[in-house]
Amino acid sequence: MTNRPILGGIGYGAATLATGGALSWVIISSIRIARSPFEVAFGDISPWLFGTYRVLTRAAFVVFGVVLLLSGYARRLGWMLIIVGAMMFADLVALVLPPFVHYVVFLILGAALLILRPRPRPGSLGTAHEGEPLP
Amino acid sequence: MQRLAGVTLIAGSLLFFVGAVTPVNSRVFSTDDPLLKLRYIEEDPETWDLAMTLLGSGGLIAAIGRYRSQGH
Repeated sequence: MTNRPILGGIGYGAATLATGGALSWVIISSIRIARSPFEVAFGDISPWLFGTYRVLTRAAFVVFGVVLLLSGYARRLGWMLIIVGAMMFADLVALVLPPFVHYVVFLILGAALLILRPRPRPGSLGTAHEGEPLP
Repeated sequence: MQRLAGVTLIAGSLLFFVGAVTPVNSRVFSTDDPLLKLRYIEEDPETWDLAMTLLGSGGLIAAIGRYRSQGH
């Protein structure tokens, strides 16, 4: 079990990575709206934007999975994120995965957060762990 | 907060999917022919803009959900 503030910091790091990836995607979408249909059809958007989107989003999956694993909360979900994120990194060479695949993972993560019981706050279940009734 | 994070992640993902399955988006990204892409976008530019807006906003909302999942 790792220190909770450290885990929180790493978790915010994962969220920042995901947001960085999303901002790249927003820029890509904005360029497609701003450009004329001709430029969209015949022009290229910088591959750096797509690369940034892919790397940051996939790194977010892996880091968030590590956070879940180290926290001891939703370990299976943590492993799933690490494995899926690592497999997606392998795709950085082949580039065959379409962007919507990332949102399948986001959807699973969201559903898991709805289904899983909330994380206990520090100290709130101190007596319950010892089998004594809460006051 | 956890439930809100879950709802935000699901809402963002669904917005993205709605944008991805719009007819113009599906057609444009299912062909490599630039002339066909141009034709599809020019046939329905409003839906193209809407699809891009949904894709962008969906991605951003889902990412914000990740922040919320940290907010305990």
